[in-house]
Amino acid sequence: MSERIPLHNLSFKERVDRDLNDPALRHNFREAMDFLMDKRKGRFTDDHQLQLLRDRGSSIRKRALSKLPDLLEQLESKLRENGIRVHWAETPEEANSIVLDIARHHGAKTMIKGKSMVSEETELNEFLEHNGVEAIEADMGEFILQLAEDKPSHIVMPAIHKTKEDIARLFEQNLDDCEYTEDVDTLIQSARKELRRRFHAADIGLTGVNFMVAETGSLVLVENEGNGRMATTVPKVHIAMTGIEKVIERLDDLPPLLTLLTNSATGQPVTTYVNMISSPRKQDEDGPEEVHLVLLDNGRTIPYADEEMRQTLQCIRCAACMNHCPVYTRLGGHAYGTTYPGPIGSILSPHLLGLEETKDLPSASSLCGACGEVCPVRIPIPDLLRRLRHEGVRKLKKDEAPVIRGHGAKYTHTEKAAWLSWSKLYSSPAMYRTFALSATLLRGLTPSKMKGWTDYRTSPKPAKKSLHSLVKQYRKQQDQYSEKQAGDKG
Amino acid sequence: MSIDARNRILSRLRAGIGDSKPRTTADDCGDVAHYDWSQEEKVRHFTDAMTAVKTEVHQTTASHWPVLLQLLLREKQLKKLLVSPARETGQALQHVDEIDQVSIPENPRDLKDELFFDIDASLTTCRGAIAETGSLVLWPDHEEPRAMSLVPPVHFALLRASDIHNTLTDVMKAEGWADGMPTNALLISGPSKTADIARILAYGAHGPRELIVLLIAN
Repeated sequence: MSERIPLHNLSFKERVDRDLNDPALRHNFREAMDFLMDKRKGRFTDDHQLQLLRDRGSSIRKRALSKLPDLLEQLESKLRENGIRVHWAETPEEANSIVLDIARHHGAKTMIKGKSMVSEETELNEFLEHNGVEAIEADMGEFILQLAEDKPSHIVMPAIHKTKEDIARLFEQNLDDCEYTEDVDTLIQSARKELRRRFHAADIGLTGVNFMVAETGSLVLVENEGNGRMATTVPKVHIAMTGIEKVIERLDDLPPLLTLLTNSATGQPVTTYVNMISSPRKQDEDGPEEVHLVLLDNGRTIPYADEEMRQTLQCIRCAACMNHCPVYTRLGGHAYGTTYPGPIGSILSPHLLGLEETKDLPSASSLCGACGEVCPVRIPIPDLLRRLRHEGVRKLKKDEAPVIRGHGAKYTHTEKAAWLSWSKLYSSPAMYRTFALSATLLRGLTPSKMKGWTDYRTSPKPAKKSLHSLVKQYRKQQDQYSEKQAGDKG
Repeated sequence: MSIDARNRILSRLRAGIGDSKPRTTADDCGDVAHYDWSQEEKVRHFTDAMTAVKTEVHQTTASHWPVLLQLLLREKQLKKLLVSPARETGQALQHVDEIDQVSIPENPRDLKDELFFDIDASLTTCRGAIAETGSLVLWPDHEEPRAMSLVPPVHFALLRASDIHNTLTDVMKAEGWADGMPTNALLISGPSKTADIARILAYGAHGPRELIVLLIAN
């Protein structure tokens, strides 16, 4: 798979074509998504309980967002009080520079990383590498991708598109004393050994954050492997990096969200580790002597300003929407071309990157509704997809401010004209009848090739008779029949 | 730069709130699961959830556990055991010469190299546990540092059945966590694991490959 062309060089359609025509990839994703859906279903056996829990999760996130600026200030002052330094970044570049400055201040040469999707969003590794700091991914999935110079295709299971055999070859080529083996235990132990050395030597640990608690000034990290705990325990500096929307108000808001997150993501009642960090080490303790939090905006304030689109920010990154999405299952994550793939990516990425770059994403959905049904915090993803489609083709009214960057990016005069004629035609009975009549009479003239349509389908030839005329004919026959019956009786 | 960024982000958010009203907990709807478990049921739920994720749970007593520990160490061929001399664990093992014990030093950070490359197992106490999810609750400190339950390949944990709560919410409420969180609060629910290679579960990814709970009945 290493011969894959970098994502950004291909258009959306080209990426879709490439991945739909990769049977191994499609097989991997189908199996993996079936597995994850079953795991979730096996945990949520009482539907009534589940719906109540989703209501609670949604309430907690909505409440936090309703006072987000106040909570961020409360969080900041609590963290400061606890000794954690807080940095704010409007753009990915700013966030990366903050991290680099901390590294330079400590003369750090290596940074060991727990899983952080926000650091993928800012392309931190490439930036650090470029500036002479080695970033080492320690999450097993991310570690594999770093060796393969590849990108995550799923936000919870980043290397889900790699087979055992791919990984066996990668480890054989890249790790010391690692012979080719498809035994997963042996592979994991080889990686563990390599990464232990790295943890032992690293100057800085960098991680993401799952939840930030404003009330207590706590950073909560959820994981199974222990790489997050290692990165926040062993190096003398810990940098946490996350989006501004991840804050919750109270400590007792945490348990329901944890339950929703782990059960929805991987069907686990809880992950192996829930790691709550509220300060740097105190005297005689172990752990980092400095803890930093980098808060990133990168476009999140844009959907915030619109009450409907603000719901996008309720997301707790469980990935249940992608696991249940028929489009994601067939495509995998790379075709989307964005850090966050799948349904949540299609409603979030347009805000982070602007609609010009992402105009195809809101349409990359069948609107089947599965994502909205499983979302643990009840984000109405299908409604938001439709809203973004609308914003993509809508012309702004006079003096109207756009609600998204790249507003109207999909607007074309042809499409606008086509819909205008359509609505005229369908709202005038006389015109509609004339159209139906001519379509049936002239059906012989239907072209056999129609761009886009006939590549995969036969040409849509109108029927000999329209439904209207068939119904008319049927009614006439019925009437004649009843009249005959009445006549016979008489 | 960061101060300007902070102020701009906050003012964008404030402008973005518009007419929408802040919500309070009174607006919350829905509910979480509640349990009314007896002591016996708590132990059973805790044990079931823990063993489901490959944790060993051994029921024992306050006087017998050192003997059980010794047996388990021998059976698993583990030699060096890390213990805290300041805790009941270290004190109970003080005169058990059959176990090769390493004590947590005055400054736990002095132990780094030995911890990474030399120690086979650790024994910690627990602050409590959660029956619903099968989780141990730890608040590491200088006597039992964070790395102690993380770096050695095998982690033994001594738990009293009376310290098992129903849910995380119950523990937080009962102990008033919201009034003051420690440097690090941890839930540990099984040995370290990963399914990142082809969804095949493997244990001992970065943390302990085995978690063994010595559960002291009341």
